[in-house]
Order: sequence, then C-alpha cells, then structure tokens
Amino acid sequence: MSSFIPKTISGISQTVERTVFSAEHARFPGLLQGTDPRAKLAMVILLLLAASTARHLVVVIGVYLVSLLFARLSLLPSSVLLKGVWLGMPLFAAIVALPTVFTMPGRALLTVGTLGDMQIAVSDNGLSSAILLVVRAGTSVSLGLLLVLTTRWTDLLKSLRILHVPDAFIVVFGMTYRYLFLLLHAVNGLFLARASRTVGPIEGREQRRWIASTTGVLVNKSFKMSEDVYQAMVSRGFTGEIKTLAEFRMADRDWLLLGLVVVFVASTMLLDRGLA
Amino acid sequence: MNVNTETPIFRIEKLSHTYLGRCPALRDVDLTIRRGEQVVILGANGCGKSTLLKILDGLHRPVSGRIEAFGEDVTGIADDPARAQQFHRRVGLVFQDSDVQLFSATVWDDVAFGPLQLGWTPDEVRRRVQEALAVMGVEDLASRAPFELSGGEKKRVAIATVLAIDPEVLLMDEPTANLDPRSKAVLVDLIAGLGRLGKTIIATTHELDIVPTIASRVIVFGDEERRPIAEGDAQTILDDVDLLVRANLLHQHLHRHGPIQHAHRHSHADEHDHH
Ligand SMILES: Nc1ncnc2c1ncn2[C@@H]1O[C@H](COP(=O)(O)OP(=O)(O)OP(=O)(O)O)[C@@H](O)[C@H]1O
Ligand SMILES: [Mg+2]
Repeated sequence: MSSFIPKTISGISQTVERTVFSAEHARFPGLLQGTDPRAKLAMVILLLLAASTARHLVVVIGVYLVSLLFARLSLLPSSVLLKGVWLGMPLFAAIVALPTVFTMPGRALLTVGTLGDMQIAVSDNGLSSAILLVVRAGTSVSLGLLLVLTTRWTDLLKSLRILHVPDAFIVVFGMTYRYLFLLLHAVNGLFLARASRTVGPIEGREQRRWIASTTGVLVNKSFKMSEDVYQAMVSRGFTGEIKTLAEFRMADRDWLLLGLVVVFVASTMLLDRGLA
Repeated sequence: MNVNTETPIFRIEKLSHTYLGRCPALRDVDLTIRRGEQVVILGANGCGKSTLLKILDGLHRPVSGRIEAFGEDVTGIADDPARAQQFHRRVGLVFQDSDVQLFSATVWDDVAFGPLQLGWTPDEVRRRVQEALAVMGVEDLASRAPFELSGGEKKRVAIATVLAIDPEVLLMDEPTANLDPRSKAVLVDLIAGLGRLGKTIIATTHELDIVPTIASRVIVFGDEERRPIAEGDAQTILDDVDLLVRANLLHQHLHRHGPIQHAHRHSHADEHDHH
C-alpha cells in the first residue's frame, strides 16, 4: 500500500512519456494523422468552443462522443483517451468542481450541516453544474490529446504559426511542451534512481517527504533543461519561425472533414440554445 | 586583407561572465583560435567550460569582454536573430547533455531540423541528413525516437544534427562524458577523423585519456582562476603532473596509466603494492 503513490506517479508519467512524446501514434495510418495539421487544429478549436460554451450536459456529451469517434478512426487505443483522461478527473473534480456543489444556490438535495444561520447543503443546481464542469474538462482534455497525439510536435508549431498565432506564443507553447516532457523524463529517472538505491519498501511518511523534497529539484532541473533546449534550437538556426519538410496541402478530404465539423458545431450550438 | 596573416576564427578579449547572483563562471579570459586547429579545453567540473562554449556559440551575451569571430564583433549576437542565424550556419555546438539537443519525434527529423531552419531545399535537406547520418554511422537509427536510444547512440546523433549544417567550426561540450570505453573509443576516432578533414574543433573535457588523440593544442582552465592557466601540445600538458593536479584534473593519490606516462605521485607509495 505504501508504494501506491510512487507507483501511480511513475506509471502515469511513463505512459505519458511513451504515448504522447514519442509521437508513436502520430505515425499510425489513421484519419487524423492523414489530415492537414491546420484543418485538424481548426477542427479541435471549434469542438473546444462547442464544449466550453454549451450549457447542457447532453450537448457536451455529444461533443465528447465525437472526440471518441475521432480517436477510433485515428486508430488510437481506447485506453489512452478513456483511462488517460478520466483517471485524473476525480482529482480535478475535488479541487475545482466540488465547491460549486455547495456554493450554487438552488434546491437542497442533501444537507450536510449548518454554519451559523447558513445551511450547508448540496443543491440541485450545484450538483448539475459540477457534473457539467467535470464532463466539459474531460472533453477538452480529450480533444487536446487527440490533437497532440496525432500530430508531430514541429507540425503543430508550424500550423499554429500559419493560423497567425504570434511567434512569442508559439515559442512559449513549444517550450512548455518540451518542458513537460523533460519533467516527466526526470521523474522517471528519479524513480529509477531511487528504486536502484533502496532495498525493501519505504514507509508512508518517508515516502511523502521524499516526494515533496524531490518535486522542487525536478521542477528546477527540468526548467533549466527546457531553457537549454531552446538554446539548442537557436544554435541550429531557429529564429522563432519553425520550418518543416512537411508540405501542408489542404486536400478535398480535409475540407470535407472541416466542413462536417463546422456543421456539427453549429448544430450543437443551436441545439444548446433550443434546449434552454 | 593579407592572406598570410589570416584572421583567426575566434579572438576573445577580457571575457568575463557571471550568472545572476553567483560567483564568476569566467574571469578575464583571453583566447585565440585559428582555422583548422583542434583545441581541447581541459578543466575540472564547474570551471566554466560549458559557459565558454555557449558564449562562443553566441547563445549568451557575456557580462563583459569582447568576442570577434571571422573578423567581426559578435559579442551581442544573441540579441539579433537574423545575424545569429547566419552565425550558426558557420559555428555549431554539440551540447553536454544530448537530451536537450534531441527534441524531435525521430532521429531523422532531429538531424533535418538545422538544415530546414536554414531554409535549404527539401532535396538538399535530405542529402545533408543522409550524409550526416552516414558520417556518424547512425543510418540504422533514422526512424527511431531519440529518447529510446542509448547514451552513446544519442551522442552520435547529437553530433550528426550539427554536422548536417556542415559548420566551419564545431564546438563540442564533453563529447565523451558518460560513455562506456568502446563507445568512447568509437567517438574519439570519429572526432579525430573530423579533425583530419580540416574542421576547426573546440572540445571541452576533463578526461585526460582522450586528449592525445583529438587535440592539436590543449588549453588548461584553472579551477579557481576561471581562465586559462596553461597551454601547449598534448604531450607537454599531459607530462606536467603538477599542473594537472593544480587544475584538479589529476588526483594526487590516483595512478594513471596508458596514454599518460609517469603521471604517478608516490606520496602514498606504501599504499600501493603493484608495480
Ligand atoms: N544556468 C546557470 N545559472 C546559474 N549558474 C550557472 C548556470 N550554468 C552554470 N552555472 C554556474 O557557473 C559555473 C560554471 O558552470 P559551467 O557549466 O560553465 O561549468 P563546466 O566547466 O561546464 O562544468 P562541468 O564539467 O560540470 O560541465 C558553475 O559554478 C555553475 O554552478
Ligand atoms: Mg559543462
């Protein structure tokens, strides 16, 4: 039981390192992999818009189902989008969504206690908006993963540029992405390093202390490394404008797909209005 | 300009650098590097080797001092992206840590990164990548993801990413660190080969055994001084045991054999029972 936390962390970080950053899925012959990165980026942004403006749960679930469909057609293993996204959600729910359960005014479903004159209770509005919040977050993360998993890092940077995202932002985005990779890499390295130095299980308190003390070291180390990565790019002629060999060409198929997504997003927005 | 007194590749005057809130990493360094030299900068951990190479590569603006490269003042080139790109066409740096240098999805993409940024045609890029992979003997790795390579393979790929640009000057920061003896030997041979082809190379290290093979000139950086304290050919420097001990490159109690002859200190002779 005492090794649960490190096991979970190193398990997650190893999976993410392998699946997200190795671009292993970006090389599968799936639907999104064969789509022009610009069309793909536009599609994901539209779907994100639909998910984040919708006020009805069904609509958000509809967008989520579409993202699952895309994952299927892009040959992504279902575990990546299902487990990868929803395993982290309880944590998110506890931190972000839980307060709204109690703070939204509405009909009391379950009274927890009283604070002075105030009654602390789970309200119906609170509960449904908390659920909406969590599903929305899960959908957004899925869409983001979909984009990142099926696109090469440099192509992603290049398509951001074509969509007139400012250079400074692209560099920051690119570095953040590398930063996360290096952070994960460092985490994995540290777990390995520690596993090789310790014999037998470590007790819970010691465990938590170790995690706390290494987190700082890791963040520092990976921050320094991502600065070095930037320098390594500059050293090979990078000036803020990324150039790749991939010729971006919008094929009929890309237009069709983009058109379908536009129609879908427009109808979800109409539906969302109609439901009110 | 007179061809006989060719302008040096680098001329460094009174170069000092301090990272924010720290003691100086480099102090009043004067240095001249001529075309076609293979210079090894020998120094202990933390004596400023990496800092010097990053400044030579135009990535940091030094706190004070002046750097001339190819006869032009390049001291503040880090702040001018267009000039910096031209400069990086001529000077390439192999970083101490290969992980920071390999950031693409595949080895091929990584080696192609430099040529692409310099705006070469797709055919030219493909040819350069092919050549660089061949020179470093890593053609087989082209489609692999960099992070799943071994340390030695990473280092060779990292060098290939710089060779693909075919710079006039190759800066290498501890190219043989953390390699097993065989990978190290392979790499040292490759570097020596690049030297024989006439490349100007500036490599840093604290490993004495690789020096004779790759250096035409050795510059020793002082541990405390944070500047060159001696220079000469490989044999002269490696024979100077007092100097090596002072620069923290050789420990009094350690015996070194092989390429470094007579680097023995017998202050603890009674503890050693071989010979
Ligand atoms: N990014 C940085 N921020 C602050 N201090 C730094 C930074 N990089 C290096 N230093 C400091 O500057 C000094 C010189 O470091 P540098 O990395 O140049 O040494 P080095 O000779 O390359 O060492 P090593 O052999 O360990 O690679 C050291 O004292 C180091 O702590
Ligand atoms: Mg160094």
